[in-house]
Amino acid sequence: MIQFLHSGCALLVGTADASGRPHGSRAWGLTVIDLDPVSVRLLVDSADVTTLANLQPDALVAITAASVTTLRSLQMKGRVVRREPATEVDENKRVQYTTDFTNDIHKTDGDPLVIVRAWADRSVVPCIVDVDAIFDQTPGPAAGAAMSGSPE
Amino acid sequence: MSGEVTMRALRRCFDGRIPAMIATVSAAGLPNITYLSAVHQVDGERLALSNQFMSKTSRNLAENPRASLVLLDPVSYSEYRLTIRYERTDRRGPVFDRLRDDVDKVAALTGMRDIFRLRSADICRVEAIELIFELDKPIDDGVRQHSMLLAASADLAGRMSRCADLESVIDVALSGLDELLGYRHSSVMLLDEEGTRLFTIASHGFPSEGVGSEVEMGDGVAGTAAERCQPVRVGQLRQMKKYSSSVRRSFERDGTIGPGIDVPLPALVDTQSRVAVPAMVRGELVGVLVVDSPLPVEFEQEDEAVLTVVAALIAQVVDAERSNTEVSERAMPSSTTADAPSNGETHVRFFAEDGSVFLDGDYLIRGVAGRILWSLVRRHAETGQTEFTNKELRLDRSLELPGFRDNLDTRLVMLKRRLDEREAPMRLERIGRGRVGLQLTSSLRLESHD
Repeated sequence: MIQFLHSGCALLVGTADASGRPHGSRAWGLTVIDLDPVSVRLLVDSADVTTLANLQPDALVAITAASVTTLRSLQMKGRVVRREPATEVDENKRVQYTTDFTNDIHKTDGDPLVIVRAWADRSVVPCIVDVDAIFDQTPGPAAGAAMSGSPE
Repeated sequence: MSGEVTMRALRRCFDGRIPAMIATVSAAGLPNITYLSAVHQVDGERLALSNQFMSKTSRNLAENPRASLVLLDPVSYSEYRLTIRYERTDRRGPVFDRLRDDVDKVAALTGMRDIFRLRSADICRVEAIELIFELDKPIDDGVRQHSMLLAASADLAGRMSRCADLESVIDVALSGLDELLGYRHSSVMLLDEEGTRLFTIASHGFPSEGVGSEVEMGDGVAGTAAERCQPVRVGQLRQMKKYSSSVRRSFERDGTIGPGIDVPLPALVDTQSRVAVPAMVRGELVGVLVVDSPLPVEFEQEDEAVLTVVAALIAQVVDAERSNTEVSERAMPSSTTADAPSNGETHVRFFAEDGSVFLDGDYLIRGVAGRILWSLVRRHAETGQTEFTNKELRLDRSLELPGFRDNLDTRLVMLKRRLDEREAPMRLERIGRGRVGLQLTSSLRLESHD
C-alpha cells in the first residue's frame, strides 16, 4: 500500500471550515512518514487558500488516492497535525509525483503531455496528517468498506 | 452564481472523460472525498449526480446538503470548483433516465447490464463556480463547421442514390463520410437473422477492415444503439472502459459475477469518441452505422443527425435489395463453368455446429456466411459449378436462413469482402443482380466436421 501511495496516483483532499462547509481539492504528492500510528506528509496546492485555511491543527481531513490506470482507490480519514514550510525534499517529491502522475494520465488516457504537465505544475505546502482509518474506495460493491491493518 | 464562469463553459466537463470529484461533510464535521462516475447538467443552475455506490456521499448530503465539486475540462484542462447544494433525489423521470443511460453504457462495455445500475440521481443547485486553473494559451479544440454539414450530407445522399447495388452504396457511404464530412473511421453493422447480434459488413479508415466481427445486441455502444433503436454517443471510451473494468473486477472479487472477458468492440483503433446510430426502415432495425474518432468528446448532436440520415439511406438500400432479389432471380438462370485452379491446394475445414470455416488452419468466418461459403465450394467440388443464383442458395436448407426477409445479400457482400481482405484463394464476384460467381486460384481439399 505504501508503494501505491507513493506512486503517481491521483490525490484528492477533502476539508471543511468551522461551519461544516466542504471544500474539495487536489494534492501534489504524499509520503508515508510513520506507520504506528500512520502519519503522512501531504503536499497541498499553495494557491488554494481555502484548503490552507481549513488545514488548521486538529482539523479533520479526507485524502483519497486513486490509481489513474486501474481506478483502485483508498480513502484515509485523519487529523491535521501541522503545516510546515516546504523543503528541498518536498520539491523533489513534488517533481517525482507530478512526473509519475502526468505520465500515467498520458499513457492511460492519451492526453497531450505538454498540457497535462502545465496543469500539474503547482507550488506546494506540506501538511502533516495523522491517519485514523483507511477505507476501500475502488468503484464497486465494496466501496466504503474499512480496510484493516496498517498501510504496509 | 459567479458572473464570470457560466454553466455553458462547463459543458465538456459533463462528458465524463475525466471523472468529477465531490467533497461532502457529515453532520459530525468529518469530510469525505470521492470520484463521481457521471454528472449531468439539468438546467441553467442545477446538476444531477449519479449514485451507484457512493453511499457515504449520499448520507452526508442528507445530513449536510453542501458539497464541493471539482470538474476538469477534458480538452482545455481548465479546472473548476463548484459550490453546490443538494435539493432532492430522483429515482425516475427524464433526468434519472439520462444518467441511467450513461451508467448502462459503462455497464454494457464489460457485460454488467444486469448488476451495475444507477440507484438514483441526486439533484443539486449550483451556488458558485470558481475557475481554479486555465492554460495561458487556449487549446484549439478542433470544433468543425457544423453549418457545412447539411450541404455535405446532401452531396453524399446524391452520390449514394446513383449507386447500383448494396455493396457500392456502402462503399460510397463510408468513403463519402470521410471525404465530405470528415468522419475518418466508420463501419456498418447489420442485424443477423436471429435479431440477436450485429455483424460488420464493411468499415473504412481502420488498419484492417474487420469484416465479420460481431457484437451482441445491447453490448457496447453499437449494441446499445441497436437495442434501443436510438443514437448513442460517447466521448470518453477509454475512461469508460477503465471504469467499467474496475467495477467488473470489484464484482468478481465480491463473487456477484464470474470472471469474464471484455466485450470485443468492433472498433479497430484506439478510439476515444464513438457515435452509433440505428439504420431503420419501416420501423424495423436493419443495422447500425458507427463512427469512431481518436479524439475525446468529438461528436455532438449534429453528428447524430447527419449520421441518422445516412444510416436511413443505407437501410433503405438493404431493404430494397431484399425485395428485388426474387424478381431478378427468376429472370436469370444459373450456369456452370468449371475453372481450372492455377496453383497449389488449400485445405478448407468446415464445422457445421457454428458454420465456421478455416483455410489451411486459419480462421476465416463463421455463421451464415461460413455456411454459404461451404455450400459454394462443396457444389463446385461436386459439379464444377462456378456461378450461382441467390435463389438456389436460398433453397439450400443447410444455410439455415429464415423463411422471411433473410440477410443473404448482405451476407454475400460481407463474405466477398472478407475473402478479399484475407486474400483468400477463393473469391466471390457479383455477375448480375441475384447472381454470384466463384473464382478459385488454387484447388481445394474439403473437410467437413458434423
